[in-house]
Amino acid sequence: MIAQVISAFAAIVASSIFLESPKRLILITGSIGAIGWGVYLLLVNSFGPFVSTFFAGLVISLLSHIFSRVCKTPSTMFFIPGFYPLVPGYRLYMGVYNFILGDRLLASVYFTDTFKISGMIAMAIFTIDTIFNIYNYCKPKDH
Amino acid sequence: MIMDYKKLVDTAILAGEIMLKSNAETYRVEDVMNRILGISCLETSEAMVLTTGLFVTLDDPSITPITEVKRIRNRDTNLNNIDKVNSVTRKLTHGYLTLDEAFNELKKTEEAQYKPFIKGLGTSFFALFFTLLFGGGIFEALVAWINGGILVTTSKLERRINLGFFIHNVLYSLIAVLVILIFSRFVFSDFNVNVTITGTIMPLVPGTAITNAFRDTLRGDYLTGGARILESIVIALSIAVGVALGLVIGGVIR
Repeated sequence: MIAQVISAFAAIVASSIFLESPKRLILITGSIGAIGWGVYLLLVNSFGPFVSTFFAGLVISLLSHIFSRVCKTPSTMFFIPGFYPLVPGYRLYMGVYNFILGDRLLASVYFTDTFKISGMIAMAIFTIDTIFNIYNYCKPKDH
Repeated sequence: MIMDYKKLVDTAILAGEIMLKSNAETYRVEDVMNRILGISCLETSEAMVLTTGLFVTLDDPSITPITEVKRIRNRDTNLNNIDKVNSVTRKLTHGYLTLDEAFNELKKTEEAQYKPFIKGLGTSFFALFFTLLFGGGIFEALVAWINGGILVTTSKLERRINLGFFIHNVLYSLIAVLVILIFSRFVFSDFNVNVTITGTIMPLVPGTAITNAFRDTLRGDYLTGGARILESIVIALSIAVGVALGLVIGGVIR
């Protein structure tokens, strides 16, 4: 598991360079994504992939929002690379791949999984967005 | 306040164009453009953003209305540009920058941040580490790393001769699968082909597009959300076609 988290960190740092993330943010992004992946790994055996994606997503978006305020940058900067290990791109590819090969049943399994996991990630991002909106609303204005 | 409204609209369009080209979410692009237009304090200012283009209009009883449309053709995720536009906009709306300065700053954002070599290394290690992450061993990771290097070359070629992303994805995944099959057949005896293919196609896979699609759809941006869902399915299709072709040529499936 430790090795998995470390390789998640390295993978996210590499993907940040691929996505041209600003240099000052790369290590933070890597850490956020690695923590998220760690949470996913901790939960996946007992709760299954969907619930654990949701909780890992909650952790990633919470950290992203906090650091986007600290570093004064949009939270997408952390979302996009940070979610890379969780995001169901591979499942979508497998769905289309099996569809081409003619295995309708397997294809629909992968498509449904893609749908569910993307929905979970979007829900997690939404939950945290809403919490921060409420926080902004309640926060005393200083000017 | 007297202001060069034409320049203001140009600045908003430029900021929106850079952000949309860099794959920012549409609501963020609209937000940034509306902030820039907001400093004019005119009665009507509206920015509308779709995945493939953006529209701005600025109107007031005191001026002739200004409307501009910008078509966006190719998009490529670039987080650094999003960050730069964001900070320029913040400085502009807080009054630290004048309009002309902001416009010139925005003009400068399209410079690359990393040297091509570093970016190439990033791309190839992307494939390597994701292979490890999905449970591949050291040999699988090494082959994926080689394929990452191939991806750097093919995407450079694609930009030069303007192939379009579909053909490029098909070609790259075809070549990558053939490389993997050659290694698995002639070099390593105990080799997990599936994990290597997964890691290899990871840089192309439309994970971000599909997550953004769902976020946009849940926010009520149905046009953009639908466009992004379609985009991710087409990307997945291009990869799957390439991989299937490779496996057919390699004799794995018939």
